[in-house]
Amino acid sequence: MSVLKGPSAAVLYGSRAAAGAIIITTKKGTKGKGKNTVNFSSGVTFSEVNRFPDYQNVYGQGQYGVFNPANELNSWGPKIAGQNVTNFRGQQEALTAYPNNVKNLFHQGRTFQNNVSFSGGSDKSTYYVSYGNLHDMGILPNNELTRNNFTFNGTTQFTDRFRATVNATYTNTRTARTQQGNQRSNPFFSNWILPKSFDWYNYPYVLPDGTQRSPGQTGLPTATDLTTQNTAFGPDDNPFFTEKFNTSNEEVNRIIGNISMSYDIKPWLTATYRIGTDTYSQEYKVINAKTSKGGSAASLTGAIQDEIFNRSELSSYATVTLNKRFMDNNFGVRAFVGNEINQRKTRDIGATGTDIQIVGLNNITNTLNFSPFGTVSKQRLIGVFADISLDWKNSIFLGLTGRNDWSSTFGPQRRSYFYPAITTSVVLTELIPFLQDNSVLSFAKIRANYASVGREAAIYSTDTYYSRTGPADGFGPNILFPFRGQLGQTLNNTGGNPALAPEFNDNMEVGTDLRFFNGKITVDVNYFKNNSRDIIFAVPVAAASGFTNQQKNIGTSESKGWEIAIGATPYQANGFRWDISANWTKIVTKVTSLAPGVTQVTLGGFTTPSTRLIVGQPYSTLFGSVFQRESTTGKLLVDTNGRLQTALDNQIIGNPNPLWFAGITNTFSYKGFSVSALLDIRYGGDIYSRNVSDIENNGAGADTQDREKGYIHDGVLADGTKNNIQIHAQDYFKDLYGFGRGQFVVFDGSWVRLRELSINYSLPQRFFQKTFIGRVDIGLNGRNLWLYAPNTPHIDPEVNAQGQSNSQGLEFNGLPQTRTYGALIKVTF
Amino acid sequence: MKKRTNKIISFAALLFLVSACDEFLNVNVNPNSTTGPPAKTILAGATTEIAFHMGSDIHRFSSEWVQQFTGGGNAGTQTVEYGRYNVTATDLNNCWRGGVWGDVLSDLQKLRELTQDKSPRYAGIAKICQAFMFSIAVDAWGDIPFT
Repeated sequence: MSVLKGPSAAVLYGSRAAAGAIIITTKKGTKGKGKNTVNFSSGVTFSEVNRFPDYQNVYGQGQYGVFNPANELNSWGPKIAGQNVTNFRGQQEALTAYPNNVKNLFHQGRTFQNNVSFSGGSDKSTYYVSYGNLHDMGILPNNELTRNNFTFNGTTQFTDRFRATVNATYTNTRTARTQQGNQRSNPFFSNWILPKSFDWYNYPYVLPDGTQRSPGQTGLPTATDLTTQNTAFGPDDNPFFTEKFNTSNEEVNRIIGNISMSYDIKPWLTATYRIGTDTYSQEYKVINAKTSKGGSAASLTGAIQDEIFNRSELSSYATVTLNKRFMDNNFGVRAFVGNEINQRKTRDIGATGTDIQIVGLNNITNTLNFSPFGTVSKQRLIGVFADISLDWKNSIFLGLTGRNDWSSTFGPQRRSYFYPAITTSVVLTELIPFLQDNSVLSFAKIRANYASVGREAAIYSTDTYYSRTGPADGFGPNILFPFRGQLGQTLNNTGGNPALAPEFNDNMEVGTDLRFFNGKITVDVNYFKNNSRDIIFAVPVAAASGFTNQQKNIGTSESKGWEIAIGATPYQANGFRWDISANWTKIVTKVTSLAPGVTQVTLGGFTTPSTRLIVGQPYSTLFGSVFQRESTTGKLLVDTNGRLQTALDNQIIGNPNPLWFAGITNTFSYKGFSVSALLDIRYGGDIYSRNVSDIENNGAGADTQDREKGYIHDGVLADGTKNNIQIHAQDYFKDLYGFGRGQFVVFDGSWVRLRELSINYSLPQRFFQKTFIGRVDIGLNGRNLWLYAPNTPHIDPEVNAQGQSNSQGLEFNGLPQTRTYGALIKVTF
Repeated sequence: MKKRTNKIISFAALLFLVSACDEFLNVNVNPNSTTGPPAKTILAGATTEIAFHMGSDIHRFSSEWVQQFTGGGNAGTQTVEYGRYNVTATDLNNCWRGGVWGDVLSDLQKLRELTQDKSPRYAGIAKICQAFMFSIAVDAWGDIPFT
């Protein structure tokens, strides 16, 4: 596997590699008779939550010191002292503290992994066949992943000049997951703040008819009564109920394969053709059980979704490569020209049915309302490219590259675009006689590169379409079409643009590669500057134009930074060796312009908080509610009741981009033993935590425990005098951390963590001299074993609510990070 | 002669390739949506949107302010904050841009343009609906842009 950083990778892989590419080279057999080997490896890994919030365990469910069992998430209740209370099921119980009531909702995760491979070859061909199996049981009940994969790789030399390679991988993955996200079926939507006097294990989670019930639940015959029919105390699903009945299952069948043929026209001239595919089919079945409270349309009635998503990518490459040295081998030329044709197709079909009739029958025909969907998409690209690399005595290098792409995502007039790259480097230790054969500075290279890459637009952005309407708002109500036998269509709010053209990334970098004392110390320093221009985004336009947004090529942004990597071997003697490798990266991003009159665009999130692009600010700036402040001193403004009020307009509340990050790996080896540790450091990078907000404002956090005293906000009153109004602890914490209060739940996410620790031992060869075993390695490994995040309370700051997207820095009741530890054995026959 | 024939053939092949490429790349028409729907589906959509927005944000803000109902829950819950006149610029923007204009008025405007000459009955209904939506918007915001 190799990583091609930055756009220099783009000439071969096109605009899809504008941000760099990861090239995975599949394993191959080795040529030669009698070289058949069998590899077997087997491993087990255990995982557990790496950080739990610091809870108080003194006060129970309720508010202002008064116990309240129903629809209550607050732990602002009475002091827990074994007193008798009426619980949410109308029964008497002694109020008890359960310090592990959240921790016990998780169990230990386990992963088993087995791989076996056979490889070998004759003098004309090689083969590699492998089978792998993975079974992963997550930290929540009923969360599992099973993966089986088969790989085949074969190469054959048909004639002296002609050879062919076939690669194929088939993978079957089945997963069962619990629902996630900002909704009531997520078992950790509110259970992070489970009242400290409550334990789910004390009560049944399902009624005999397969349903659940909460006091005061709408849609049920009796409203607020505390009966033994209740299986949940509040508006969210019982976590055991949702883990068992609200399932999300997925099965993926994927084939990745390619065939490649090469013909040597001359010893220095080779023609290669490769055609490959990556095709997968993803089948989903997502069930919201009847009486489950997740989702909007499905709340209480239940819903079943069946979906099949197919994607297939086909790519064809033809290249001719020239590789020759001239003038007594002093002057080298490596050149290639090529063509790429690429097609990506998707098909997504399915149906959602709501209002489940027979509890437990999870066929979509067991529902009353159906809403089918089906979309297809197709995208094509043709590219031609040429690259020429020259070198003089392996000491001066010059590379010139050009690529022209034609993408189907643009209109016929704009679809052709060209982008060049130039790379230069000089090996000083070869070129300057004074530096040659120098024992201190054994190698020195400087390099400077420039590359530009064009990017495709999102498909179907060139026209404006009408699509099926479906009135809905954030509060949940919606109308589904067809409605009363009519189809309703609405003009899309984002207008297409036939003049759309590619966006470009211009990347400049300079760097040096130095090696001292014959490679005992290596230093690699790189400075880069990346300018993006003609960025395509949906520019907000005046609503009276008929659109809210219009696709345009308009934004510019910039990122620049340093990457430094240092390697050293401080000690090496008597079979003992100590290696250090360290890297340090600093990237500064800035949105330099959006559209005329547009100073900000929302990337993701909610009304508060959201992540935005704001001119002059870093990428994905956090934006949210702030408090009213006194205008001259900037102190918090306290009202006549001693309370804080939020300001009307939201403002910037944080920058999620770290100032720098670093990794340090130390490896110690002695004979067959090696110990390696990776320390991962991030400095800066703000995170908005909904979890911390919930924990503090609901009185679950340890810092809310000191509540017998009055609290005074550190601020000023309207007349400018220092605030002296005492308020209840509950009001104080609700003011600062309450729902929708952004400012004080943004934390500096700096961390130091022991990302990886591994101990490996290679059994001495002499043990197996007379057996069929070739080599045995055993190892222990751990990930995320230790975390130091001094400025973020309660959570591991390495979370992102928004999955794989450019919007970062928001945490919304997500599942926690884990620490894992395991063992591995590898045997070669 | 043979050279010339070769030249012509290769030039023709090149032309064919270039036009074939254009054909190959002309796939950016969304097969899942339409650019020209019939008037009746636009009207059905727009009228339903009007009805929906009568019960959505505009209604939530105004009904709370005239105390026809009140928001329940703790401080910070959206409906509680609306009741305290704490409606943010983003809330209003969503309502004005996405709701009143994006969902209703723009569709009705398109409907008028599409049917003015061919079937003026639709254009007439669209004008009446537009007038109704404008009256609601004026009630909510005072003066608003008309064009």
